[in-house]
Amino acid sequence: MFRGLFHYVEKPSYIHRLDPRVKLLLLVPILLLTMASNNAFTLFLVFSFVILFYLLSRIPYHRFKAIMMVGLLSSISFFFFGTFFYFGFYHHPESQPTIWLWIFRPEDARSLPILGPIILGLTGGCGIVMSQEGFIWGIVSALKFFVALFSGNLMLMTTKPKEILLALNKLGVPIKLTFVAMTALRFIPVAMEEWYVTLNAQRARGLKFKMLDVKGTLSALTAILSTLVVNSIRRARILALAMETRAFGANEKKVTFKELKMTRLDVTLTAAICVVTVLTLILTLLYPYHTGYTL
Amino acid sequence: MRNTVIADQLWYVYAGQKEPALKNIDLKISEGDFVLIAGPTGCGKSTLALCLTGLIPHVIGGEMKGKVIVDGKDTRSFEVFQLAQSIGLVFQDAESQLCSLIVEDEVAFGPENLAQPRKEIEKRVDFALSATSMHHLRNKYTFNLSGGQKQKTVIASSLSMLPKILVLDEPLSELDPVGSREVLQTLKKLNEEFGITIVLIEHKLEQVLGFTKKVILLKEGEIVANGEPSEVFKDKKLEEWLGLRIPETLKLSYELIERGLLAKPVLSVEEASAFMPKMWASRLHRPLDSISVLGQEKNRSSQNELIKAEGLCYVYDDGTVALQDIDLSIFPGEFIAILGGNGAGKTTLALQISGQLKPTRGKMYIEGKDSAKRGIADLAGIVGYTFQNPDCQLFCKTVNDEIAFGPKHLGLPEEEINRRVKEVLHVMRLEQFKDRDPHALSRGQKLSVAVASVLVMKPKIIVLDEPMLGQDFNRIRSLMTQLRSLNGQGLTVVVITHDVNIAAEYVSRAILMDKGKISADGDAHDVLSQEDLLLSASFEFPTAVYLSKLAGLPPMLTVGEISTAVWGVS
Repeated sequence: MFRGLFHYVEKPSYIHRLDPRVKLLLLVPILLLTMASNNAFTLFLVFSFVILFYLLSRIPYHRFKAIMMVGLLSSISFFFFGTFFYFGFYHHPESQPTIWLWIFRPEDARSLPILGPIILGLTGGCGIVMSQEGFIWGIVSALKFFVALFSGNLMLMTTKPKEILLALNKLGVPIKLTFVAMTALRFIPVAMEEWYVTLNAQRARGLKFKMLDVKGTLSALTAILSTLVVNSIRRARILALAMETRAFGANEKKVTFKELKMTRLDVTLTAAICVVTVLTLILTLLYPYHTGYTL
Repeated sequence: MRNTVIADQLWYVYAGQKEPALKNIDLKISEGDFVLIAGPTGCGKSTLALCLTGLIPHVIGGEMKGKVIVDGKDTRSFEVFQLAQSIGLVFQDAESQLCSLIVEDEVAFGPENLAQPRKEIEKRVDFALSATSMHHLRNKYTFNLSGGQKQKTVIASSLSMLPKILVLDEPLSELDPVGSREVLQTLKKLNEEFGITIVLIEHKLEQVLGFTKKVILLKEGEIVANGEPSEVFKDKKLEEWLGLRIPETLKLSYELIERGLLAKPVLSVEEASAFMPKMWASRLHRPLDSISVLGQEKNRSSQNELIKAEGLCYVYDDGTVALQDIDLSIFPGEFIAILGGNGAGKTTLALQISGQLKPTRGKMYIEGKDSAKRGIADLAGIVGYTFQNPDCQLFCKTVNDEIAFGPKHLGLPEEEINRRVKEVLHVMRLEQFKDRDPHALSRGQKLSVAVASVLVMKPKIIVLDEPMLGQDFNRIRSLMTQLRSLNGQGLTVVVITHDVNIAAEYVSRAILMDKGKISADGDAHDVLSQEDLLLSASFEFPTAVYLSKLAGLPPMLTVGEISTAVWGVS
């Protein structure tokens, strides 16, 4: 399931054809807004906007589903954390939380021998409680996570890796750095494959991963990692020789075979992004957010 | 013709070693030649390739004496990237040489680094892709390509530097027959149409000999033979002396030369078909119909099936159907080869047999018990499995620990572990390496460690996935001999292989796979002698089958069999 994430998907769509720099630019207001806003409705609007781009990008459904699964799985932890622990973390002397259900009142926890102090320590002495605020915090955080996950993935699935690097180069990131990034991307699938093979090789020789055997699991994982590292070093040496024979570093300047070209659509969209961003900023300044988390 | 590569009194010693890797190499390669360099492991072939391309002495240290001149350039006085525009280098492991995700980016990498104008880069990429017939794949991900396509991408990215000479260091050793043929055809095209000089280092003589114009043999860092292939391979002792795998055609030639029926050795099947006279079938020692193959007495009854698959299907997460309706029984004591082209489902079937994958539909029974209900670790003492790449399955600090890993996790007593480890070290001839780091061993030794670490658990059946890949002939032969003797002691052996000639020589039962189905299953002789069947599964058939047919004999799997049949000696 996770192998489907982050991979470029070739499709004839407007989103694919956009200049990668424009796409990077588009990410800026989306992510800024997501970080700044604590209002579920606003976040939902931003999220719908990202989904609209997904529809335009013709990303196949199973890819979409894979990201959705990751999002939903992660939101469970947000909800869990929000509903049960929020109160303790964000407790404010003046705020009066709307309490739905007490799981552990502070006084109950105090009388509990070992677990009690742990709960009190974790929740800042407030105990575990289901509250409306916590619930809302869960929704807002999950939405934020969703927007970040979906918009980042949209970028990666509609843009060839080389184009992203080219855009980063154009925006001033040094070539050596982007090259390292590209090579790393290139070898991720290979490393994942090897990880599974080594893991299965251990199992096939009788190793069982037991739930509570931390030491055993750690030593098994260390063994896999060291095998992976040894193989990577061996591979890196061959790669270095191959690159040497292909003149890597021979010239200060490097010409790129592919060129980034701004089309009319790109220019229009850039203008639109700028206008929207400026308008949002003005509105934010005129009507400052209240700091609480709201639906 | 002009000499494009000249090595003059070349000596080379690796840093920190005493014994020179190359001794007194004098070599001239003329323009437009197709040269094969062969020799046993450690003979200095790869070192020679590094010297020719200037990586020695520029990148790899050590001490070099003598001179190498490539395309008029002395390798000492030119940088590697300048030399690269005269001489390109392709290594064995294609995967490791690709640094880009997309094929055309990879091919453009060299000219980009040379800061060529964009128009020129485009022209070079187009040339390199069309010369290697890779145009249709230019926008594909490099990691999704087949082995042959990956190797062709590496060749294309070397070509975009516009070299006049191409050196290839065992480019075929990790490829299946189809991939090998694809790469060899490409090299032939480059040589004939574009006049590129090819220097091919390879031990797959069977496939290569038909292509080469010249052969250079190395042993212990020295050139021991240099000339036309038919001259060089006149000497029958090469096999013993250099540990080379002599092609079947050549073996038959030796038999014929010995009996005065042939003047000079025949190097390829094509050549053989041109002359092989049907008449010598009349020199048969015994009448034709008495020639039959001895089938093994089989211990078959549905009571003692070791492995049994019923209507087994397997579908991968992404929807690829890897196996369809597999019905299969494996009995104790069998020696089986699973054959088939790339993507035929061989590895998936082997993973099912070893219980590492569970059927999507249908059933797999291992020792009568449903594999879906048993964890991989629970099957460890019953089914042994070795993966394709020995590098990935070695994860301990010493060979000794590596071999002891399995029995330790089976919970055997300390004494028993030590006894078994000692025994296996002896059987696999690894005693001298027992305290070494397995990753520091040679590829062949790593394979032995991988097999040993499985054997030590005393499984009832051992499944080996492509153990011969990237191994030299001596190693292949010793492994197969060891497996044969273990099989004789009752171990059931299943080998997945592309190598039909090895299968023909060693196994008793062959399973042919094609597009996720078993297309033939039976006595090795019956399966491997059916040309049409093997070809339709995009597989090769044993050379000897072809040769015996040319001679008007019933199909035979090895030249040994032919000569026994014809001359009555084995």
